[in-house]
Amino acid sequence: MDDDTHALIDCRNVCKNFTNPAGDLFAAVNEVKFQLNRGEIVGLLGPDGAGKTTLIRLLTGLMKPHSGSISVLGRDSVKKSREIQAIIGYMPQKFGLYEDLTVMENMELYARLHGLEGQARVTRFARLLEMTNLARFTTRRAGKLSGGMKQKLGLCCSLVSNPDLILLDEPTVGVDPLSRKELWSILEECAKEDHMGILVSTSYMDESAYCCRTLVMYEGRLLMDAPPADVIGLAQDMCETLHTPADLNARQFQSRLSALPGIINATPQGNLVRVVVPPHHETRKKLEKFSPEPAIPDFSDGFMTLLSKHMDISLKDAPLMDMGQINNTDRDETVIDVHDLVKKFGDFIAVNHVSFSVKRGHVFGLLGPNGAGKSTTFRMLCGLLPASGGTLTVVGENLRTAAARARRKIGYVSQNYAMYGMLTARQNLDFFAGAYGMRGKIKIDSISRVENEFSLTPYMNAQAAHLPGGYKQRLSMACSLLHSPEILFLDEPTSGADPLARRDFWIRINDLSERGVTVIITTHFLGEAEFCDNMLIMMDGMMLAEGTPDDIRQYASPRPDGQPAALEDAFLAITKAYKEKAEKGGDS
Amino acid sequence: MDLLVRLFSLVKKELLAVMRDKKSRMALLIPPLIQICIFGYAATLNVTRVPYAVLDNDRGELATRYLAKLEGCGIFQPYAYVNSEKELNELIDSKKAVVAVNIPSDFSRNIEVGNPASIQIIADGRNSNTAAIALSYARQIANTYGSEIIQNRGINFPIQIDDRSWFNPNLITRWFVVPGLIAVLVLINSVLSGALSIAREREEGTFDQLLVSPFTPLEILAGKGLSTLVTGSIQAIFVVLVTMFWFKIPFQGSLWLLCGAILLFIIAAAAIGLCISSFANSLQQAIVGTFLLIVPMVMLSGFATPISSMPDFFQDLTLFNPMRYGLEIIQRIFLEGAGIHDLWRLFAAIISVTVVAILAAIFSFHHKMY
Repeated sequence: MDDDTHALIDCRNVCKNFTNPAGDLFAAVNEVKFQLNRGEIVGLLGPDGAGKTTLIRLLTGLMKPHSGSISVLGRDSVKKSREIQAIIGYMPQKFGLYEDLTVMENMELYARLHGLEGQARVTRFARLLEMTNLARFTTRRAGKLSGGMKQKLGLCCSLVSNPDLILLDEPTVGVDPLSRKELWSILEECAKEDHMGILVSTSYMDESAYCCRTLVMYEGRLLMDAPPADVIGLAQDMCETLHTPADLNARQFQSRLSALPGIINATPQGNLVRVVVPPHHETRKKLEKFSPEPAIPDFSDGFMTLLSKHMDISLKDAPLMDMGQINNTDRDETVIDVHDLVKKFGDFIAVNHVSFSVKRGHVFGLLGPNGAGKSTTFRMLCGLLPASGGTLTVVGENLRTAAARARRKIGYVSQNYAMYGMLTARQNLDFFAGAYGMRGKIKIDSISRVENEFSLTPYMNAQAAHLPGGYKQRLSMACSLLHSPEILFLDEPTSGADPLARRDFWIRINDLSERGVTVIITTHFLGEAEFCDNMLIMMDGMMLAEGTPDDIRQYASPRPDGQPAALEDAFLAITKAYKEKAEKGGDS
Repeated sequence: MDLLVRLFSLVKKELLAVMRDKKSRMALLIPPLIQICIFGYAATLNVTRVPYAVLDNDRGELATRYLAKLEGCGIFQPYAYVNSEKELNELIDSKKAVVAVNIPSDFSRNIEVGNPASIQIIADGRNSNTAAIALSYARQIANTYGSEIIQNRGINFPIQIDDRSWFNPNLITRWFVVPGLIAVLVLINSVLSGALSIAREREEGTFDQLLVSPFTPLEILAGKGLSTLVTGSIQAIFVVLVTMFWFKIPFQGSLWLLCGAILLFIIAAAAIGLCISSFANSLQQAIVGTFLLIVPMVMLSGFATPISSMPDFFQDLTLFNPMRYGLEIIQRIFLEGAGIHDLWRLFAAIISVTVVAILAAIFSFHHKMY
């Protein structure tokens, strides 16, 4: 076929195997087959561990497939890997910018590596700087750029040679919503005007909207290769919005719905919950009383529907909750109070006069892109960092100065679920129980309580480092809940998580909150804001907005169809307003 | 009680992490075994089998008797008998012989008429230690031979040296090196495991988890220190057993005193390791920091070279070196059978250095964390 010979990428039944820490062989990329053509933006979507990075590295020739063949720009990826690497653009997750060089020096360096000199370089630079809007910052050192600008510079550097094909590995992860949008429009321009072929991997489902075609990957397999509309179309006529009953909030309602048989996906949206249920499923009858209205599905609805066709995604061993009334009163007590909090590292102000408070049993989100200061705020709350100014109290005390005893009231789950990998799950639990002074029967009871609650029984004697991803998260939460803390702190708990693990996670968080545990979460996944009772949006250490999801929604202009505005639009509006203000301030 | 429960679980966790990992288990015993074998067998300062060449211009009976004594003493091994000085020089140049013996043609005659006779002995100074020792043996043999000749004539030699080396009668280097090695190996293990334990937790992210739990920094330090004490003791017992039963170094002192000294020494070393780890942000930094400190500590301990021959400034420096005291105590208990009345000054010194190291660890830990 004519198309065949002109495809920029032709990937035929490619497999790549790895050995996991427990010593078992598994297929990171399993029989993947696709093509990519000139002028196309193809999105590679899937959670962490789906095989996205491995596939991209196979395409660059940095890794060799175990079976199958890859042809990139007509060259075999094994025999001519050097040639491929010289002519394609490739932006890995951690792009090699030289932080001590200026923006221009970085670009010049990459231009020289590609042998781009003279007038050609001048015209190319002018175009790239205009496209990325970096022209005003050419003399700034790369290390001093914001996260979004660093990614744009990385993109600039991978585009210097004006390649026919560019591969980008999660370029938007942890970047603020406005910069993400800008990055995508740069890519759209490259595809349209320079007819580049572009492959972008991402774990943000909503970014599929920018792609001509999406490759949906899960556990190494390519589940679907189709335009995003087709993926969304899988959930067509299956999607309804339900009204939350008066005695519950949307998250509590969503948790209960998720546990019903046949529910493929459930997402809170303001006071409504959107569910995906197969038509004619018996559960539909139960939903009648919540006055369902047909709704438009989104990409993650389509993704979950696709997943449900390949595996059993029904909720297992989640905490069981009845539909009955729960006690939402008695939640007016403020357990965290932060006033005018400041943190400076030398000249750098990481947290700039931040104030907020959190009530008992609430789920509070600290949202913002990487480098916004949310982790710094979080660490100050936990007592891991001293504040430079302002006051903060957590359950009536400053954990920094309070007796070690006061820390019994909090639980802490660190980023990446840090725990002792050499020890078994049981030994980890045993250690943390001991750390909180438990012994004898109390200790045995607490351990078996969390063991049941998190369904850890089959893995109790497995080495923690060898646990499957979802169970690492569970063990880590189990360890931090052994002593029944009043407040649970979670640092980026859902970063890169599998959608199923993410769903389990939020059901558990809701369960904790219903039992009166206050939950503080940091996340750069702005989509998770709907699960929070309250949130604080941060950027560059500043507080941009604070409030309930509905408060935040007010920042977006109302949608013409009268439907509630998407939180994403609100974030975009907030970020835009902040950046404009910052630029004005910078100019004057 | 609460404190004990928490401390116990911290120590248990540390030990489990070491003992469950096959590599860490091996690292506890295999490297010390290799090192002790290398030092015990290869690192010897004793001089034996020194090859020598002879130019005998005398050929008389008296000269032959001297040469027979030289050959029979067990230190020297004849390499060649030559006929010219030129050949003698060549053998030294090419390192085939370390010592050359040149007996002049008037040797026997001079002795017979009662005149002093001379022997020229040339040694290869490129290895100064061997040369010096070989020369002194050759001189000693000549002196004994000389006094024998005088005695045969009925005259007694006015001064006789009756030498005896206490504690190590045959001056075997191994007796001195191997007990010292106990101190060196315990130092390396304890400093390293102290330095790595916190750096590793920091790198894996579990350190924050510890800091937000009710552990105080002091308790974390104590837990890390105690678990190092346990692993260090296991290693020390192993090395001591090898020293006594494999190398058969005679043990003269009190086993209890030795244990006490080693425990104190491990605590000092672990505290130094914990100091390093409070400054190190990564495993790499901790490892580099450890070796930057261990090498001078061993050099300034008297393990390789005598402290008394160091310049004054360095001699003063050794006073702050726990390794110096650990080494001396262990060697003296082993070879001299020294008791607490002999060693109390050294014990006082090592205790004070240990206390300083612990305070420094606490201070640097607090300073870095809070």
